[in-house]
Amino acid sequence: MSRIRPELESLDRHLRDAFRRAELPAAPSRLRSQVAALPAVASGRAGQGRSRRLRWRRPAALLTLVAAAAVVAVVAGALPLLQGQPQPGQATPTPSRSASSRTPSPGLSSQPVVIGSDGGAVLEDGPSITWTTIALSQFGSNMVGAVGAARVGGTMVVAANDTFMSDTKPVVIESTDGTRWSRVPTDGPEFAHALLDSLVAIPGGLLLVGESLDPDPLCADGAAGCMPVRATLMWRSSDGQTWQLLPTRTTAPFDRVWIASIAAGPKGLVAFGLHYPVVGSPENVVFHSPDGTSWSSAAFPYQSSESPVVLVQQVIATSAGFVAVSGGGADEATAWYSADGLSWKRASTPGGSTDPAMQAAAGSDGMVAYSDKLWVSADGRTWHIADTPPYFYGSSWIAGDGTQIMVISGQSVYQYVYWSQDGKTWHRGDSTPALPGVSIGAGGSAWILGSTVIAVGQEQERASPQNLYVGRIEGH
Amino acid sequence: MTSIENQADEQLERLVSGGLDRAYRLAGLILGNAADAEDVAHDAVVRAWQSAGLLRDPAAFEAWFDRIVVNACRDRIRRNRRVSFVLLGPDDDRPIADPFQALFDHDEALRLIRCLDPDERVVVVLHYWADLPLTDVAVRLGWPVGTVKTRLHRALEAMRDEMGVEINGKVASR
Repeated sequence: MSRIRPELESLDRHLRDAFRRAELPAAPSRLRSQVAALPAVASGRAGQGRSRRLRWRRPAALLTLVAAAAVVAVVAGALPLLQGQPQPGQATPTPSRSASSRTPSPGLSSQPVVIGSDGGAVLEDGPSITWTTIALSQFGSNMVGAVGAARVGGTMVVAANDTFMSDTKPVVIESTDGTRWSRVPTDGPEFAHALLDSLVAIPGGLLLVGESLDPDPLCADGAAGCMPVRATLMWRSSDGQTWQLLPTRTTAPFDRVWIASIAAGPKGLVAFGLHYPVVGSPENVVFHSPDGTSWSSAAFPYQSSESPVVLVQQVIATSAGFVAVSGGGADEATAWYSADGLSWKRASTPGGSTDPAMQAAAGSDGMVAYSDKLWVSADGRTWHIADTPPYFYGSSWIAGDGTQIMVISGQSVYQYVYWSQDGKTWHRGDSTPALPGVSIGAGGSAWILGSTVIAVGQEQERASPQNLYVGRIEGH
Repeated sequence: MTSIENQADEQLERLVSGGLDRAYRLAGLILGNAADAEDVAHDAVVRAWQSAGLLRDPAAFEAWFDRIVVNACRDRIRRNRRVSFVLLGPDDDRPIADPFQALFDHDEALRLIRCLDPDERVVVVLHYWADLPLTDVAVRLGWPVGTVKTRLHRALEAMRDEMGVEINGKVASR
């Protein structure tokens, strides 16, 4: 058997070559005939009642599906009730709503439905949220995907990319009421050959962060083990309508850097990135700016156990500074904190989780991080596992704006929205209508903009185009 | 039946004539064996057939169907919590019937993919085999581009580490 040659130094190029020369098998004739037997294909036209005429290759699959559906139905019905059940060491809760009732109680209860040993509680007095679905495909092709949302004055702005085929184009849309959205012109030279990555609010306006689609001149085609990196681009706007590309001297600190996460708050902006030198190992770096127009950088002095860099999944702004969370692979989920955005310390965390999908959100009096468990912290320095987490089930996701933390949790027929300022005491309301089967991406796919929540997701069939789900917070 | 459904069904017919091979190969490269690839390709076609009406832009069929295949692969991996890569020793010359396993066994670059976790493997296959830019990979996976980049970076780091292990192992065995 062949072995790796020492001269195999450009992995990038060799992978391309290897896949190019690979002789892959065609679909077996058995599979081809099974697919051809599907009614629409066999008859040359679509039939009605597709689901009824579906042919399952294995009858057992249908039985398994039915059994699984039954189990899910039982569990789904029981879990919301279980949440209202007294847990060992907890006070007796007030009766909770049944799973079949989605009508808000006449007079929300401020009595806790769950009390935790750490002093946390879940109350039933939270504001509900009402959703409107905005199809992003109306602003381009079916391949429009949003990357960020922020507010400037009374205008909400969403940044996206239309990645139809290889013809990627930036898309920026704006709205004042959350229901009527219009596209902001992005066909000028300032947006040529650009890809948008994120959008944050800065003093006096908004900052778009993206990258040039032009090839890396120093590292074309992965030469000599070099990782191609695209040039960082930034645009500034005072109103969300007109955008100015910032000069290269502003983005010069980001030379050969991939920006992984960015956050803005009272202490300015922080961006985490990976610096890829043309020769040598990549380094984890962190950047800080007071206003987005001038940036300072520092090395991030922590390493992953499995590679020369550590990759921060998400950085969030807090009232005292910034918190970053990471995890995945062989590394346990971890948090760091910083007051100035450049000097970072490792937080005391519960450990034990290796789930890479780490999300974080900050309220006015505390913050949470979530992978497979919900962590809570008052200051970002010391974290513990929440004793009364919101009812995380189904496609749970969290968002925060430094004032409120929001968790949407539940499944297609029964969904709650939880609000908290400290991550310990949660106020539960309804999510109406429940977002059926909507899969919200983790970590930075939902934003709280004043009295509006904007989330990005798809319908249950995950191949469907992206939608914006614009939620109006009741009572605001 | 609407014209959209008509178009979708035409796409599915085209799938049988050509796209099925791509789906099967994509699944095989992600899952590492032909049996799972066959199952997943079949399931993906059924899913696509059920939801073809959702595809409003026929020109986007390939990306749309890729995404279904990739999601079906990830579902399969999650259910199985394993990928059937079979690690063979350097002197193991047993005949291999599975074409995907054979490919990974005998290509010095592709065998490195075995060391990747499923999400990393998906990114590598879409980027290098399907020759997709990272933005298109992000669309197919429903991830932010930044996440795709970090997955790809982790994957390349892991493979480089694995290369080091193999090189060292070879030297040590001499």
